[in-house]
Order: sequence, then structure tokens, then C-alpha cells
Amino acid sequence: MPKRGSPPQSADTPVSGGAPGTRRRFMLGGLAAAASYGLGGGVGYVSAGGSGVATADQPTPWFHDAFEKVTRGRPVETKSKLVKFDIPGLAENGNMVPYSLLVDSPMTDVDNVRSITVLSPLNPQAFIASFEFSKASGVARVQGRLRLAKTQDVLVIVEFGNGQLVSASRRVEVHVGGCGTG
Amino acid sequence: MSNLTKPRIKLPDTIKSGDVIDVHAGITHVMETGNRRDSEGRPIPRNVVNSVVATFSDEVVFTAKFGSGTAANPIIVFPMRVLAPGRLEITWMDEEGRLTSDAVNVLVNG
Repeated sequence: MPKRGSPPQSADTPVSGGAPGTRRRFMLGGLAAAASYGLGGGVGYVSAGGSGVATADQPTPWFHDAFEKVTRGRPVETKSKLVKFDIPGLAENGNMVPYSLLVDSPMTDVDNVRSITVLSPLNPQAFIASFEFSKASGVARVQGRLRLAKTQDVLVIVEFGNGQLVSASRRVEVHVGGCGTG
Repeated sequence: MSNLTKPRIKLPDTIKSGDVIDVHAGITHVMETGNRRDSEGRPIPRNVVNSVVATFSDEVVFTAKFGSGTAANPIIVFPMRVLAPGRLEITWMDEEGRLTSDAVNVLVNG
């Protein structure tokens, strides 16, 4: 259990077991990922990893850390049609945005979804939620409600039982930001 | 440290053996982000519900972890295949270590 006084970034992403991936390897993978998600412009993105300074619409350094904790340097299929990610394209109020996720999977012993992680590239903390399924799940679907501080591309990463990773992102325009930053 | 409020569980009215049902669960919790300040300008410490565990007849069937990006008064809707009657228990924990749970009997009545 994270203690209250611990640094927000570590407390923020409970995904554990991160390989000792180097920053450099992560940045290379992350660059490709960021480009395909349309999350950031190439050159500026590097400074986010290096200096910890994020500007306007570049994913935050802690988003990169959270992304790396989930993916641990493994490739992520970004064009998969297996993930259905429903979230309003426009949120009047970023404090409560409903979302729904469905992954096309038979959920058998050999072919199943292990987990789904939802991350924010621009919130003051990146980690939104993660969900772990089981043999009893039957279907890989889940609904929840999230907070968005500003307009951004919400990212979901699906990990299958065989370790394969796929992702999907949806842009949500936010009129009044959540996260208590206003 | 006050107690967490009792969480909620809602199931479909009728369940047939083999159905994959949607379990609706929720709890009242402010999900304090740590970014806010009180009226005196002092930071309000972060405290979010960070863990939800659902067991059916003592077997873990679904877990959720939340960060501060999950909205206040979190709800989840998750699937569960019901083959036989059993007891569904959902336990919620926040970062102050407070725990609360609710349990319902799942009947096969369809």
C-alpha cells in the first residue's frame, strides 16, 4: 500500500515489476508511440524525457514513466481493431467523464485479456485506472468515470495473457478542467 | 480518520447459469488529488481509493486500481460469468488504509 508521504509519481502508478529499462530505450520506443498516438511533436518530446519540463500539449514526463511501467519496453500495437474505447468527444466538465472499454477476446485459458490500463498524457498525474480480469470474467469489458484537467488524447493499453500489448486513444475536448487544478 | 461509507453493489434482476453479468459497484469518496488547497491556502493531502477487489465464492474475479485520474465517487461496471450461486464480495481501500466492503448473494434464478 502506498504511504501518503511518498512521491506522487511512484504512488500514482501501482503497476509493478518494471524491468530496469533504460531511459534511452524508453525514449526511442516512446517516440514512436507518441508519434502514432498523435500525442506530441517529435523534437519537443525528447526534452520532456530529459529535463522534466513539459510544455503545452506534450505528454508529461510522468505519463512517460507510467507508460513505461505498463509496457516495459515491449512493442505496442496501436492500430489494433480489437479495442473499443467509448468516451465522449466533448466534456463540458472534466471532473467526471464516463468511459467504457470492450476488448474483442474469447477470454479462454489460452487467449484472454489480462489487464487494461487507462492513462492521461496531460493530467497532473497520469494514472487513471487499471483493471485485471480473470477466468471468471467471461468478457473483457469495463466501465468507469475519469477526470481530465484539459483537452487531451486519453490512452488505454491492453495487455493480453500472452504479453501482447495493444492500445487505443480518444481525444476529449474539455471545457472546464477537473483534477482540482483550476 | 473517519470510516469509508458502505459501498454499493447492483446485480441484474434475473441471472441464468452461464450468463456473463455486469456488476455495478460504487462508493462515495472524494478522491482527493493532492492538487487542491483549502481556504487557508494549505495543500489538501492526496487520498484516493486506490484498490478494489471483487471475489466470488472466495475467488478473485476482478480487481481495479485507481489513481487520482479516476473521478470522485468512483463507480465500476465489470463482467462476471455466473455458473452457480455464490457470494460476491467487493472490498475498497484508500491510500489512508481505510477498508470497506459489501457482499451480496448471487442467485441463479432465470
